Amino acid sequence: MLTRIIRWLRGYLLVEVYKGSPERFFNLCRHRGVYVWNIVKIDSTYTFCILLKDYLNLNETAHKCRTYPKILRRTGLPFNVKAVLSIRTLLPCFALFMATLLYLSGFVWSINVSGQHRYTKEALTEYLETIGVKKYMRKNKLDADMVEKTIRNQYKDIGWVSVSLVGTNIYVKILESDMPDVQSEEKINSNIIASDDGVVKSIITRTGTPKVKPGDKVEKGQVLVSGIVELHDDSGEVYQKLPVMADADIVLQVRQDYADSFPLIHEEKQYTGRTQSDYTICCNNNMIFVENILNKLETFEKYDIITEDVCEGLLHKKTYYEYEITGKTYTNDKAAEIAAYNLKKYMASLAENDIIIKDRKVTAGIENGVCTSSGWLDMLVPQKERSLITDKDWSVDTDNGHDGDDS
Amino acid sequence: MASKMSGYVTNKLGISPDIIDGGSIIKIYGREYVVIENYKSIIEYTKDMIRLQGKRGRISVKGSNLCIAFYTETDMRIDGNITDVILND
Repeated sequence: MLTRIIRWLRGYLLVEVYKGSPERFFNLCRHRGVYVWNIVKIDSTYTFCILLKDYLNLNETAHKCRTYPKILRRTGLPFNVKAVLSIRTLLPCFALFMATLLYLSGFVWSINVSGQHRYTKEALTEYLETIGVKKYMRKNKLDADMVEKTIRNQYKDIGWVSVSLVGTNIYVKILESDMPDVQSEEKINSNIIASDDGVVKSIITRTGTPKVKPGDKVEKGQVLVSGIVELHDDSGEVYQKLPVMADADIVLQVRQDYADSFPLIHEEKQYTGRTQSDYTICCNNNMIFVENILNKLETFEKYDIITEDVCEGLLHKKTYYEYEITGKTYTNDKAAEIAAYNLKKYMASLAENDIIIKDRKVTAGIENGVCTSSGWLDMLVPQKERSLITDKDWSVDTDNGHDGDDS
Repeated sequence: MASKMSGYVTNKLGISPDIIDGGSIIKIYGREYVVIENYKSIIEYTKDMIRLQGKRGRISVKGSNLCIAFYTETDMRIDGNITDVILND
């Protein structure tokens, strides 16, 4: 196999000899180190293969033997190259191709963002465009350090950013910092105070001195359970006050006003029907993006993005649905439905804070193109607000007779 | 005399005859091809017979559709439908 490749690279000829003494011809070739092969006798002629460089020196040998070598076929790279080079337009076209390739490789053809969780790729790409980093920009205009710094300044919760240019692709890798809030419960000496005006429904005190009892009316900010514990001596006088962190389960019945309003005329999304789909093929931590360059996403003013897994882990499809914003008016029924939904949502948020709704009265009406809901909610609200105890609050004035004051 | 001497030397030293004597080496591979080493020249080449001159005699290869696959300084190969390989003085 290797021999055949080498022969092809060097170029060889299929030659025919007739007349004279062919046997002598072959013997002379052999003695002169001329390599011939595939010698076949066909009728009165002999055909054989010979390397191109050996054929060029065959004249003397052929003349001696009075044979006439005739070329039947030329095979090999030297002949193919000659045929290719004889095409006049080939070299200029090749040069033009290389020049075009060189020119186009000076532009950025794709921007890849990875490592994001809170922020979408589209949001980050849009931000990059505002700072001048976008597709089809010149590569030499990219300042990676500046881009990294700008992203870190803009997004405070991105802890680490790396921007690199590989070939004609920009790779932006980010690491979002996910620091949880410090939830430490320090024991701070404090009172429990009322968060709203209301009536005490129930009180169970574990630590501290209760200042109210069930049924008492309280005002906002009033101390419900004091964090000062008084110690009495045998005569019943206070000889010491101890500050503690008041701990009690107190529920107040509170009546809260409710109000909500929204205009009937609103903006709604109307899908135009235009979509574009992009595919991402994932293979061994590499991603290949396939998109239809004839259907430009950049002409969409507004769009929704739906991402789906076509083949788990291997193929992802991202579809962009273009939409327009149009002005519409709610009907009366629809407005009432929305008002009820808003109230329901508000009550659900109260329930998340352990607030129980005992009773409510909310009415909705439409006036001057605005739907208004108003009323009240009777709620049972657990009290958690606190006020700090100062040193002055719990210090005891003691008169021991030795202070030098004779008054 | 010289040939007797060389024969004696090859026998005693255990050297193969082709090295000192110049004897031809013929390797026959089935009926498909024959490889021959140590020869001088081609005497005759027809489609049915190829006759070679060795150092110590002639070699005839008979058959049909005979062709020479390669023909170099050291060895050659004859392809075809081989029926006879004859050694003559």
